[in-house]
Amino acid sequence: MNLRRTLAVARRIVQQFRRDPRTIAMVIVVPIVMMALIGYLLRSVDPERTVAISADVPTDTAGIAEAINAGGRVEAVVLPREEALKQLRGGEIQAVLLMDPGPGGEDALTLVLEGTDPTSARVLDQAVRQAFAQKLLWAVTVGTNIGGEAGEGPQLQVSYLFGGPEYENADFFAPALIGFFAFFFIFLLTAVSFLRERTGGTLERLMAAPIRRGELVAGYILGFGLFALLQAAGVVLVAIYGLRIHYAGSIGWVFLVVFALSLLAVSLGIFLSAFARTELQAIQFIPIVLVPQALLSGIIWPVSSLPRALEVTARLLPLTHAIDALRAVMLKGHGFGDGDVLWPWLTVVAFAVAFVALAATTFRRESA
Amino acid sequence: MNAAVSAHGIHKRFGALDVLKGIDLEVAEGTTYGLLGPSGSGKSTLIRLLLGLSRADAGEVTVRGRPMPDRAILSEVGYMPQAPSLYMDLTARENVAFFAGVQGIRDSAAIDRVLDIVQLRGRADSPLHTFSGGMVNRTSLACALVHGPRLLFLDEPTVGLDPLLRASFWQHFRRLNREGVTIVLTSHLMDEAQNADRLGLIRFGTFLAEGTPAEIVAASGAANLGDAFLTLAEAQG
Repeated sequence: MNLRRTLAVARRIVQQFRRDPRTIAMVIVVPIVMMALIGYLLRSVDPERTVAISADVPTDTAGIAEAINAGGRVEAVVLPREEALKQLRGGEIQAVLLMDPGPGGEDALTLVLEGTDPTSARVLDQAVRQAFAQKLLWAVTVGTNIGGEAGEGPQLQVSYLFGGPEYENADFFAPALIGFFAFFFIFLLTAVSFLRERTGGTLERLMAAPIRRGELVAGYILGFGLFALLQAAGVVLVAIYGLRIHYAGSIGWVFLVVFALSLLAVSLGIFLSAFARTELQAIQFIPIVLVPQALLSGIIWPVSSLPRALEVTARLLPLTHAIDALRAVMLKGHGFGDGDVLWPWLTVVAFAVAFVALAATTFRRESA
Repeated sequence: MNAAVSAHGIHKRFGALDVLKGIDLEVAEGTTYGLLGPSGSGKSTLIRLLLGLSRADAGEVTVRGRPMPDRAILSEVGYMPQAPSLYMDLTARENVAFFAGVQGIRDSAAIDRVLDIVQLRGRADSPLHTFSGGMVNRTSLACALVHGPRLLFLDEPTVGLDPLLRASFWQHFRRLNREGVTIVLTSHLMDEAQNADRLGLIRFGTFLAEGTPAEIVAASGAANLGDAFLTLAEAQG
């Protein structure tokens, strides 16, 4: 082994890195920032799980709420029935405990769970049952018509606004992953192939032809969009028939959301390819563009459970809205007639249109 | 005489570097104009300016009577950049068909015709990464010709070609001229530049001389174009 030859190779690598400060920053700074972000997230993510108590019978609702709050795992508030159900549908609270006059003189106790997040549903169900099992709450409800024989807990009926007890974590993650994969791969493929178009001279050659910039971007969107839809079809098929996830919505809406996402991914890829000189630099967009969205867009932790500043950031990320729309379609069975699909979808499209415009500014005929 | 291309007082800077310092030229319809000069002299920059791919800091360019940049005129223009600028994973035919497509043309006869001109019909369905440099260059020329342009900008079209193929290219350029097609090309080869109707000898961003090859040789008092270039370059300093 000749040390001089080895050192020549090592020296050349250091020289190349010195000409590429961005890559040095990437290797050193980005892991520090990511470590800090993930650490902060793990410490401070606090899923807020709220159950509203609504009674149509005379009872000590405040006492019940207090007993549930004493358990420390979920938050209980007292709300009128209509308001509670409205907030449940809007996703502001995750469960409602209803107390109604029952048919046989006994009052009926029903826990309505929002149901899209199985973890959340399980925690709320357990918290409410535990509170009722405690003597304290039993004492509170003595004198009302709730619950069978003295000494036994009341009979708790559970119902679900969306889904049901069969929903598993896989059901909750599948819509998010469909969105993330569509965005991730299409973005990366577009960024690299448009970078090649720029560095290989073919973009300049195209600019010497009468093609409009919009026509070029639209062609990219159609071409890569086709693969995004094929990919989504594959992932959806595996999820439904392979993983047997529970699936409430229309497959057509899923593809419509995926197409909006690929519109976004292609235009963002074209736009950002202007800021890379080499494919190595294009790959650096993974930690810069994709990892923050993977952490903050609600794939793992619900956006509402993030610390305030990060929640605001998450709302500015297009993937957050795409995942909202996909979950509303697949878990709630909602469609484009529902605001929780339509608005997030329109938000993704708006982001995409903005990036199409930005992408088209990164190449023009008269530029040097 | 109608000028297919005219440029007046062209200046172009890149940062602190003056790349073009006052270029004037007129190219008559149906003729071949050669920009002759060493690499780095500003030939490619001038071609890009004439095409409207880049904007001059001073001066104006008109192509077929229209001030550049002008997207509409580009359907009458063919451009062969100096670097191959093709899709190496596609076949020759697919590349030519793509550049026909961005001109809005779907005509397989036109594609076959240009593949014949560059003598690649037999290898048309092989991917470009299996081609030699000269074959890639010929594909590039085919892509510039496929839409039947009235004006061709060819940046070093004969690089990497053997003498026989180079001669056949020049025959084709002559035939195009007879059909009324105007050609602006660059070269750093003195012997092939003799074939152009008019020449601009360019060095350090200015014309050392401009005129027909015979005029340039006569004015410099040299025996041939190569010597004329050397004499003029020495005079420039």
